[in-house]
Amino acid sequence: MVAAYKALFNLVVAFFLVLSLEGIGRKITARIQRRIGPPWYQNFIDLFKALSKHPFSNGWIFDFGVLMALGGTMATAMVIPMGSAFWTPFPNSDNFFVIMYLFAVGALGMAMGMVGSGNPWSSIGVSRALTQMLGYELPYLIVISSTIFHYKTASIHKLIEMQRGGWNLLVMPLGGIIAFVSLMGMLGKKPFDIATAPAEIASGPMTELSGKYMGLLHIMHVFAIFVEISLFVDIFLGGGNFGWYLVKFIVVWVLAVMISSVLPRFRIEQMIKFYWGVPLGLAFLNALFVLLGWTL
Amino acid sequence: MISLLIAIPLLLAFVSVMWKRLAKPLFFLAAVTNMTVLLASWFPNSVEIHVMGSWKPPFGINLVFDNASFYAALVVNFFFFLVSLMPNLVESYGVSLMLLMAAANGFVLTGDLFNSFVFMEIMTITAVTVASRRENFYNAFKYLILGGIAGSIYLLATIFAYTATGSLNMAHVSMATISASSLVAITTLYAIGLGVEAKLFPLNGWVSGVYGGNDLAPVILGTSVSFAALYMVGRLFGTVFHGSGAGVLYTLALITIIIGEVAALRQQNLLKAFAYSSVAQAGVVVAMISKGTSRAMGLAYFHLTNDAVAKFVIFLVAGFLVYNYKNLNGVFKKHKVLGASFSMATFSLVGFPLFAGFQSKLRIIMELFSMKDYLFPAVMLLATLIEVGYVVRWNVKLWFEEETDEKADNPIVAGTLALILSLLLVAVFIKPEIFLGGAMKMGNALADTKDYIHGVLSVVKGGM
Amino acid sequence: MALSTLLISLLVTSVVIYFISKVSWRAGAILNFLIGVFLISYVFALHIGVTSNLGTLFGQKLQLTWTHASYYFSAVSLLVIVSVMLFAIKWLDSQKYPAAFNMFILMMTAGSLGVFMAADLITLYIFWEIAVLSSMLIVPMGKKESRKAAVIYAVMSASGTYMYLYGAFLAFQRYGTLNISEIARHMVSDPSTGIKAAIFLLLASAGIAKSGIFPLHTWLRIAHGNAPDAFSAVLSGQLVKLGSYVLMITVAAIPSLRVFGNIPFYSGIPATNYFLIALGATSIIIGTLMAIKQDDMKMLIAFSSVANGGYILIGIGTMDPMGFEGGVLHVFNHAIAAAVIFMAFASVVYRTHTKKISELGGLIHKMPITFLAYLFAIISLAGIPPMSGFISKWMIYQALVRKGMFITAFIAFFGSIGSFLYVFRPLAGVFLGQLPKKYKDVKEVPPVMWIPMMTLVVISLVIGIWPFPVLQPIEGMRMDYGIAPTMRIADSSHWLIKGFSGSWNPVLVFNLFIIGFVIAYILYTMFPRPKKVDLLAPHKEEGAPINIYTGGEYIYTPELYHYNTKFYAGFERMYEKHPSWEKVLEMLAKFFHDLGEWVHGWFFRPSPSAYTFWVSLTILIVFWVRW
Repeated sequence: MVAAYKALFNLVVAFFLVLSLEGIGRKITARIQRRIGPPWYQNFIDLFKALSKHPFSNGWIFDFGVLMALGGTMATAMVIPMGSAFWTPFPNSDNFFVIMYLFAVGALGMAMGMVGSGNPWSSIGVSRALTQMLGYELPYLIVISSTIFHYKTASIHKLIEMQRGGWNLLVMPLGGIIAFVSLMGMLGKKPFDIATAPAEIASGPMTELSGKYMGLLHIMHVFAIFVEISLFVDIFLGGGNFGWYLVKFIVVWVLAVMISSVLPRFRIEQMIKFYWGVPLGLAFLNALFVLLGWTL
Repeated sequence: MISLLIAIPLLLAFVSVMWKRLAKPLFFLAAVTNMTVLLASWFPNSVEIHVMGSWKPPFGINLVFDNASFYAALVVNFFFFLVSLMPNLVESYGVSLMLLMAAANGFVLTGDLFNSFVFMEIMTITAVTVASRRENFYNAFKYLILGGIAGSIYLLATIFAYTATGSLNMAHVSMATISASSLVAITTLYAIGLGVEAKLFPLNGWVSGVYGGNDLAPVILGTSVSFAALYMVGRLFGTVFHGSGAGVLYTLALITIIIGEVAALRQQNLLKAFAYSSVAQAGVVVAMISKGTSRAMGLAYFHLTNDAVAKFVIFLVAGFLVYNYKNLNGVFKKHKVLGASFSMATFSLVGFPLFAGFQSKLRIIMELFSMKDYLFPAVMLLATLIEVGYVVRWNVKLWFEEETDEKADNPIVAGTLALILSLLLVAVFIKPEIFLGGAMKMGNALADTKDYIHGVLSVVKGGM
Repeated sequence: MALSTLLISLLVTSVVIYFISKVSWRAGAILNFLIGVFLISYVFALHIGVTSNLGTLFGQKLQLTWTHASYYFSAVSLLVIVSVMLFAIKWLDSQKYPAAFNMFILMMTAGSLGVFMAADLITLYIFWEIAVLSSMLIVPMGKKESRKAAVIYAVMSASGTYMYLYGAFLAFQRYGTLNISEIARHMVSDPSTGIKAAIFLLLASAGIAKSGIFPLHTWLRIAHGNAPDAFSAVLSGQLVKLGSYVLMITVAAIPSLRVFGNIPFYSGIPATNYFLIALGATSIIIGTLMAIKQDDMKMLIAFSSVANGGYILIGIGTMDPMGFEGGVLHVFNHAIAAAVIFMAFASVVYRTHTKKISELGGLIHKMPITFLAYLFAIISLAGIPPMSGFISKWMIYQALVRKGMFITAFIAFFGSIGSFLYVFRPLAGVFLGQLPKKYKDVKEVPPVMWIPMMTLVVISLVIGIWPFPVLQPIEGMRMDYGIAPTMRIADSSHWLIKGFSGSWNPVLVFNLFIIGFVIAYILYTMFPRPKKVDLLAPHKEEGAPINIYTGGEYIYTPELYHYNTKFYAGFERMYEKHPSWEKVLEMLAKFFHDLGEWVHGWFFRPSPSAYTFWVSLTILIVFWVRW
């Protein structure tokens, strides 16, 4: 039962933390671009506005896709350890690959629902999103595999414990950097916001979203960001107690936002070529170092 | 009694020259009599000879009747019998077929080298007349030329053998010590001389034209006559020359296998495709004979029997199709029984399980491995692979392609025969002893020179 | 009933079924289905270790034995075959040769079961050929291209089979036995690595050809793509698994780790196994990249079968306890998923008569059950929880990461993410989006056709939540083959699957999924109800209002407002000039044809005088050689 409370707490933290951070992110971007920007709570306002409006639905698969996206992502968010073994809701099932693939349920649900809207712009967006996944996941998975190989465990909370001696980012700096580059792609931040690309393909998957659908998918996005950054914090930054965990989370987020605010957007094949070039090569180099035992 | 096998068809052939209309029933009569004679003297299990005149061997001409020649004669006459059941196939070729039958029986039974040459010549010439059916003159002519050359080389070999040993009797020749250089000459010339009829590369140029030229020639030449020719290969190289020159045969046979299959693969004509396939199978048999042991030879003839039965069905069906349809696509939809028999026969040819070919092919490969021959099995499996390619292609084409409106009546006799024979192939898979027993006895008889010599030269029995 | 009696009576029954089907093909199909159901119950009732003699061939006893492996593979096969048999009861009315189909599918079942039961290499070969032959005769019953497909299938399969046969006899010649476990025992003590490796690779080639592993993978596209639609489900779901079985026999029943312990290549895996793993990895790359760009949905899944065959081979090839179980479990997962997918496609083709993704669209509202079957099947195929497909992929990853095989792991990850891409294409192009006008009267397929699909989907889901019934026989198999016999992976008392690096609880994951879904649903109902609008509504009259975003343009031909051609154009462009192995093999085929042409031209066409020349030349050469 404790596990259930912890899992629900995960969801609550994720919701408030990420939604506020999104607002802060908008503010930071604005400041970097010498604008004033909206207040930090702007995203709460946007979300509740969207949720309260009367929407249109494009058929049952559209509804089902949204539910699957949100449900799948929430399920993933519930397994995520927040920085330490104590804040790990399900210590027996926090296996990295389980989390990665559970996470895919949400992505698939969203893709299916949005294509179900019958709009080709959504389809193009989904096609881009899936292709992008092929780009960033590969270096990321190689880095994580070498981490797992190094620490002989794929359990996230055990990985955190193993990092008592020093953050993984410092043990294998190459891997940490590559993972962060991949994280940028996962978050869909510039230069990797190819899937949504508002000016090109009418926001891609979101083209047909109205009212509460927009809102629900926004919530899904919030949980997705929570999962992605938490994984990075846990695996590379050593987690830490709840406070430190939050600090690290915020730092990673702010860094990502700052980088993305000054960059333009890749084309889809440029993105693939980018990820399969230097990052993938370095990921393999990192794996080689791990195999040879050359870790710091 | 054995000389009846030659005498009856020969006699009836002369009779039918006078009464042309009787040729067909007389041919049937000859076939039935021969089968009866053979069935009456089931597997002699010893060497019996029948001397012509009262010249005791090694003088004079004698017929040798042992397990080997019995089994060969049985197979040869069996297919003549089957052909005689189909009057519309025989047409006006009754006389030729009877002469061919007499010659083939003589060729199988004779114990004399020169006499075998004579029978071979008769066989070639009558075969040429059979081959010229349906105005297939040019190919028949080619066959005639090649057969003539082969005959003269065969004769030359016989003369050499006579010079070297002073005898023409096979048993006597096999006893004699022949100097190495003459042995090389003799065996080489025999290999070439027999190579034409045994379809060895590169002497087999006539096969596709002759087998592909009409519907009667492949049915009888591809089964009976080629069995007779391959029997002689075993007799000469197994019994008489104790495996001398086997290396040449082996090499030529392996090349023959590959060449035959490759040529069959590209063939667009149904009859010719399987004509080439029979070239390849003859290669397998010759290569196996060249191994020289009794088991190997027995398996070779087991394989040859399976192949002959399958080929009979294939050529029978193919001949019917080629001469009744312009477009063969999907014809089996109209002739299900013919189609089923054809498919079963071709699958047996490939050696798929459930059919006779499987039994012989696998046994051959197993035997080769136990002899530590790793090349031949590889060649054989490669050949089988190519075989799979064209056999499946033809089956798919004949069964599944879109059919045209052409129509022909179902041939009842041919269909029944084809079905019975293809079921026989299944039966042989389940109980290989049906063919294997006889073939192994034949192999033993061919390999056992001592017994042969003893039988021919000491026992005198019968006589005309 | 003894095993041999069973198989022989099945073969005989298949012929009887033909004649029954000639009278009424539906009666034949129903009988087939009943026989299939009987076989399933028979298989579940059999005790491990039952043996039975089939007879003697060449002085060798032909034996059948019932092992954990036979049980597992037979059960998976029958599950697929029986579903297709049920499916066929209705589907066959769209086919030209229902009677022959009924006969051959039963014959093929007998052949496959025989392969799984065989205790020696020749029995295996016999039944193998029966299965190949009868399936090869079903393939050309499809559309025009299927004829060529049958030939290619036969030749490719035969090339593997005959190498296997050569290997079998090589083993027989060396060890004097054909019994698989005897050979395994002899091979452990045989000092000659070269011969052992030759036997190993020759035996494996049958599996390579059959399970569509590079370099003999090309037949899958053409055969699975063009075979009669429902039969593709058997081809991909069941027949390909014969290949996996043979691979498993060669790698595991012959304990490759001990046999080739003297040639370790990497991380304790022998070079021979690593060679197979490399082939499997190549297959994953080829299968995935090619699947992504197919427009023909059946060919797309055919290539996916190539990739999944690669997973199975990689998993088994590592001979790691996790990898082995993952590979073997993947057999089950892929069998079920591929069968459902192909049946769903068969349903679509049954109603629309096309298998081109670019000609379809929006079928979800017409065929919702088929859509759901497809959806769950691809979730399993892509390895996403809670379907069973995830478990096997997770196990294979565990093995790869534990062994530190990063390049292979990279390829496995690539194949897995690539599978998201390609399974989504038919989903988007066929079922979602705009419905072409000509399909506005399309109906869902009748229950006889969707019940088998949904049954398999439910089985896959249940196994995804509670995998232990399937994992138990796999563990039994692993014990039989002596791969880390002390290790337990499936811990059903704690509901855990244990890897080397942590465990997970499939029931918990499923519950989380349900909880997430429930919360999402609660949120969904809390907020204002949506107004249902149609899509572009092409089947409505012209001038009807447009309900989706079109950038302000009026769309006159709605089916063109549907993105289903070159779905991943951006990615496909990157490898459009790829080298084609299919072309290489075509060149090889052409070489044999040309060789035939050449031989014909030189030796078989010439005039009598040229023949005379050849005869004299032969005489001269032979004399020259022999003197």
